[in-house]
Amino acid sequence: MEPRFTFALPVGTVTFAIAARSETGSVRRVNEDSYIAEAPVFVVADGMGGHDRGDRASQTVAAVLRERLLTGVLPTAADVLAAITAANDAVRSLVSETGEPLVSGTTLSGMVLVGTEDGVATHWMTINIGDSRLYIWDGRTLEQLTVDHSAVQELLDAGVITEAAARVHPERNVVTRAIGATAAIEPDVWLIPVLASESFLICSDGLTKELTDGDIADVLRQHGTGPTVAQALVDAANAAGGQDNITAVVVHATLTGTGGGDLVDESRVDMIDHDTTPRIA
Amino acid sequence: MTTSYTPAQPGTWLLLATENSVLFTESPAATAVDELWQALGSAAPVQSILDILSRGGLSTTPSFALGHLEGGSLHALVRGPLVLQAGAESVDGTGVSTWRETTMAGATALSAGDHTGHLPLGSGAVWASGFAFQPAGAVQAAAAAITTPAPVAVPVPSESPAAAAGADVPAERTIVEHTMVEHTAVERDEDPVVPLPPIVEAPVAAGPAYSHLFEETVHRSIEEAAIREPEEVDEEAPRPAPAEVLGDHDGETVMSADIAALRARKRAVAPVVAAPPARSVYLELPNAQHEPLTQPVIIGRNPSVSQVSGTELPRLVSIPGSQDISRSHARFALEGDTVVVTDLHSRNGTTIALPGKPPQLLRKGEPTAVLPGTVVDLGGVISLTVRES
Repeated sequence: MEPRFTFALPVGTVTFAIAARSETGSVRRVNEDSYIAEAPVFVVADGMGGHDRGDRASQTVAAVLRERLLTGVLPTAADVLAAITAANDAVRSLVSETGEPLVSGTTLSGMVLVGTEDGVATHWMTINIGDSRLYIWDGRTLEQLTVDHSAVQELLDAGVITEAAARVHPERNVVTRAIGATAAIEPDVWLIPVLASESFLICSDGLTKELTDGDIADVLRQHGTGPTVAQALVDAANAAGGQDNITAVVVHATLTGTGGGDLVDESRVDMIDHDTTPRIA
Repeated sequence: MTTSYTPAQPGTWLLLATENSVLFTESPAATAVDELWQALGSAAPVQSILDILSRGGLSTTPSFALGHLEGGSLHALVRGPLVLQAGAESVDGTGVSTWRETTMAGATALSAGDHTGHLPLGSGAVWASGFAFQPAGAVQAAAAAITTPAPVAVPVPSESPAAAAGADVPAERTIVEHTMVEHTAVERDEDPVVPLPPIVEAPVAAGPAYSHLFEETVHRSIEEAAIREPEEVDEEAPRPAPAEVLGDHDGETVMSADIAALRARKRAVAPVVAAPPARSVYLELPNAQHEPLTQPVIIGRNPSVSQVSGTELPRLVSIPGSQDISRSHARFALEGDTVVVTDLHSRNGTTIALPGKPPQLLRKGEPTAVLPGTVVDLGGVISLTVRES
């Protein structure tokens, strides 16, 4: 199972290799995670326990994004934001079988390939609300791009606790931003250029609470971004305890075509360290 | 209950007084006075007044002193270059990014600024340089003995004689300092990290308070998420050494509800503030393409943005081809009526030439206001013009 998709872009053609897997884990009874792993939309939503029917919240978000963004036309960044707002409204208007309002919420992390309105350039638009994550994997190092909206992240930022302490902190499952929690939703957004070859991991906290970044990198190294990698990640998290629902979406994107040197030859690391050639006067 | 004041020129500081509340603030807009007056007479004057004064964000919140007597205790707040005399206690509004707040049991006199005028005021509004608010039964001496500078004067000395004088008055009080730090994380005295209890049962009946122990994701506001015990006054961020704290108010606690309310207000008014500009400003690119500044624009060889709020997402304009232009080279935005250009730490720099002026190199990362007609050069490779239609 290695679905392959290609997507024609103004700058060339992007080809995706996608592997995705979601499991309930060994403790929970219901899988409240949902995901979309279909070009050009790759997201994970982790419905929240402690609320009524977190599974319905995450499924609702996936359904709304699917309907609005998987239209066959490359969405714009504004389209993605509008879809997230619509998803938030939909979660907030969820009702139970008896017509009572459901108090539910969900995280949303992932990325969408977007085009600008005039279709001249394209970017990856990364979005995050809550504590699911998007990582960039360049074949050697794993880099977390998103920043959790969580209580422990705030403690970490404040220098109150260490990363090691954060892993076992009693408040580690408390998110401070979620779809469905407030009338107005403010996702964090990144717009990053499409590179020649790059992999991404999008996952719920059921994966990252069981495995360190080093553990995850080991699995990625072993399986590459082939068809077995998502299952392997989920299996590793299950083996480590499987306390929560576990979802992993691994996307490998390859850009070929007319992009020019910029798009073909550089890695993210180069982008940060060696941005521009000095101009010789 | 009596209020007395020292008169001042119109347009200076305004004093609003009711039976049990008093507000002393920098000259508000005429339209705001009505609102403030109604708020002062409302059931929850403190909250309502704060709503109005802080609605434009903290940077536009005026200096003020606010007192409200209710149920036998006095709630007093002060922001800016004012010292509020609440009974024997001196509350200084300087050096605080938000405001200071104190609650005192018992009927307590309150004064700020020049309160030597002794002109009586029942319920009403006057221009004043200071006031004294004297609830029935309060100890006269406390307020009378204190001298504070006029509110518009230089910042007050931090060591007011009144503070020392009040040290032996055993009034029950809580000093509260607001901060706008987004991270209201609070550390317990003991190690905040506790091991998980050895529970292995399925979390069938676990309520919200315990569900985190079962790895379920729960949502709470940042305030709730902070670990806070009701009686604790230990606090926040890096604290000064104990010796420095002695003699100062050590009960500096963030009022989370107020921060939440502030944030909610900030969000609520954001659309009003971000009303579309009346003018149409755009960038004229070398290929004669027009980029409207209806939202911020980032121009570069292959621009990107990192972790911005979805509500302030810029447009990215790619100028491919030349390595002399940095990936994200410069940012253009309309702030109010002003076009602001920021060089995004580009390697080869950004120069601007205002109409009729020689070109100047922008300091990296520093937002600079420019006029329509200004020619902006990116890395010595391309130039574009700020235009207004």
